[in-house]
Amino acid sequence: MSTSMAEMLAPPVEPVSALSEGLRPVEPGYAHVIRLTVLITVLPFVVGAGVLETVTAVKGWMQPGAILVPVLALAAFIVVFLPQRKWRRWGYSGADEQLRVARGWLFRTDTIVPFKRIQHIDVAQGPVERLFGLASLTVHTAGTHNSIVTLPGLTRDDAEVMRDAMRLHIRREAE
Amino acid sequence: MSDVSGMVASSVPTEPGTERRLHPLTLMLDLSRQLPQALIGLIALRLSGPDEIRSWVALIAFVAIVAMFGTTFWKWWRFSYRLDPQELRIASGIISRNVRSIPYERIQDVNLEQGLLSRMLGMAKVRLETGSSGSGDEGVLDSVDLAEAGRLRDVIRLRKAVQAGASDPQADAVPLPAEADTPPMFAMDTRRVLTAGVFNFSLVFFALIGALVNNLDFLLPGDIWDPRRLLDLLGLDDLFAALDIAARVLSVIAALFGLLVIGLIGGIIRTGLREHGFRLDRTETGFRRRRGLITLTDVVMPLHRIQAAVIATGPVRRRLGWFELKVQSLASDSEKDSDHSVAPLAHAEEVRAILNETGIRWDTDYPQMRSVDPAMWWVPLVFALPVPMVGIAVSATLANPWLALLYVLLPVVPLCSWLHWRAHRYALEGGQLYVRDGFWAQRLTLLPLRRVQSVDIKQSAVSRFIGLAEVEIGVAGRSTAVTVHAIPLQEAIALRTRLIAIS
Repeated sequence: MSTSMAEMLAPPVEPVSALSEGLRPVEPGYAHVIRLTVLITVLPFVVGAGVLETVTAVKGWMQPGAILVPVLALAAFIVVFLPQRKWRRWGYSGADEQLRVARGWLFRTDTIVPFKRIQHIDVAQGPVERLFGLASLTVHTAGTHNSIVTLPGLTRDDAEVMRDAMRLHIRREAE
Repeated sequence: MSDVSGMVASSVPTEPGTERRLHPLTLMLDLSRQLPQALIGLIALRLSGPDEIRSWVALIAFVAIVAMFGTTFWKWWRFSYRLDPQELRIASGIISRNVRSIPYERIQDVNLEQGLLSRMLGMAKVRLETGSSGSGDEGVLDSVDLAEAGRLRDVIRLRKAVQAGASDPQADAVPLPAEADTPPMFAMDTRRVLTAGVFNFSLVFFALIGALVNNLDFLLPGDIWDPRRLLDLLGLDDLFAALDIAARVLSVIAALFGLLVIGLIGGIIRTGLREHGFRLDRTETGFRRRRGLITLTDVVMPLHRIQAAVIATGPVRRRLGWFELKVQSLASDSEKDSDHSVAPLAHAEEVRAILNETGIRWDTDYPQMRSVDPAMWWVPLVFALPVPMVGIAVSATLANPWLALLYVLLPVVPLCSWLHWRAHRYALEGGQLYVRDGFWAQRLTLLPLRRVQSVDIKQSAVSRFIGLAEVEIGVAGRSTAVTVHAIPLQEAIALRTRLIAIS
């Protein structure tokens, strides 16, 4: 259902604050990646709730649905709505020879790494990401704090293009 | 003791070097390290092991000792190093062999370390810093002859310079021997070391005694910590009962005073052990620091690897004009410490003289720096204070009304918070970021903008509501970020732009 919804929401990221200017959204498909990952985490809890529900219902301790209904509602919220919001909080920019990655809402972090500070670059693809044709780009800096900055939700091609652009810079800076 | 110098740099050969082993006396050192543990184990076995084993202890001991000698010797025999034209090779391992090659150009520092025993035996531990993020154990030769250690250092420095294509490699390698005659950049006499010790008030003795008691618990009677039992044990029971309240107060004061004295002595001893004979020299490429009373360390810090400087002081030291200067370098001199102290206790002009060499300037200080939004101190309190307030109220009504007196202590929390806010200032000036933290342990970080690795702007839901943000700057060789707290978002964005623009 959310492809159309995602496309609707995709154009400029709704500015969270002045911080979000000039950011590009990550691929809409990344919402599905989040959803699937969350689903895998949530599923055991739903199954557990189902078992508990059956037991209590059989013993007649509780109203039928007293456990399963709230759990299902919560799970639906987490799986259906939250990924869209989470996806919306991600933003990036590769302009001005800097990699900028913004993430999170409750604790929002906006990181900038100048290309020439990058030590090495990874392009990684997990099984879930591969399913949606996405990849994540990870850059390593010499800093000990923030030495690893990860930008998920790029298409494999985009990630490789960005990597090559950065690599050129690393080589140029190294003389 | 510092005969490390006085070696002559050898010329660059092209053929592979000869295999060398560590100093034979290393065997003794290794064994002396292992023996106490083994003995304790054997004694424990003799005293408390299963009955049928006890009579065999002598045989077990014999076998164990032979095995220990055997493996140690074998390890020593199989450990060798070789100075090849391009790299240092270290071969090790008894059964699974490991040959490690470290190209000279990757070696950042060559540090020498001498413990008490190795000093008496004329040996030194050579530690090669390669600047990788590992544990720093990439290349350790433990231990070689002192003369050999000096030769290693000179050869490695020379070949490193050749590999790096320096125009005049000789100039790079020779200064080590020569500089013993030149005056040091900074040195501390005994008086200065003792003064530094006074400011290093340390209760580490108590921690030590505590650890001892913890480990030797079984020797003490079980109820030793019961005050009555303790008094009884010391034969002070009657005496204490006879004392009136004033005397008790006095005795508490005396105890506190004792604590102070022990803390002072602890600090002086600790500092004296570490900083004795502190000497900082300017070499061709950087600094060289030698210090230590029992364990001598000899550390080389190339200037181009220095990322930032920290000037640390305290309220009292500042008043007396004392500062400590540390530099943050890519390679760390030990696992736990990423700052190299280059002047543990120095006057401002001495600090400036050393800083001049690094190209880092100290142009501004607290009075001229910008303070941050007061929200930094009161916002956390809004969340933190209600908990103890309610807690005290509940326990006072339920348990003991006297607990309400704890409210008197409560203002300490906002006071500390306020002092911290007041101490926190920043400035961006002359291509450097200055950040100052702490009202008790005052730290002024001097960060050249070209050393900025990454910049974060962080906002929590609360700070977004107030319109504030914090800026975190990643710096190499420093485990925590340099942070500017609680500044308006627009200011944070502007600061970030300026930080990145110059880098």
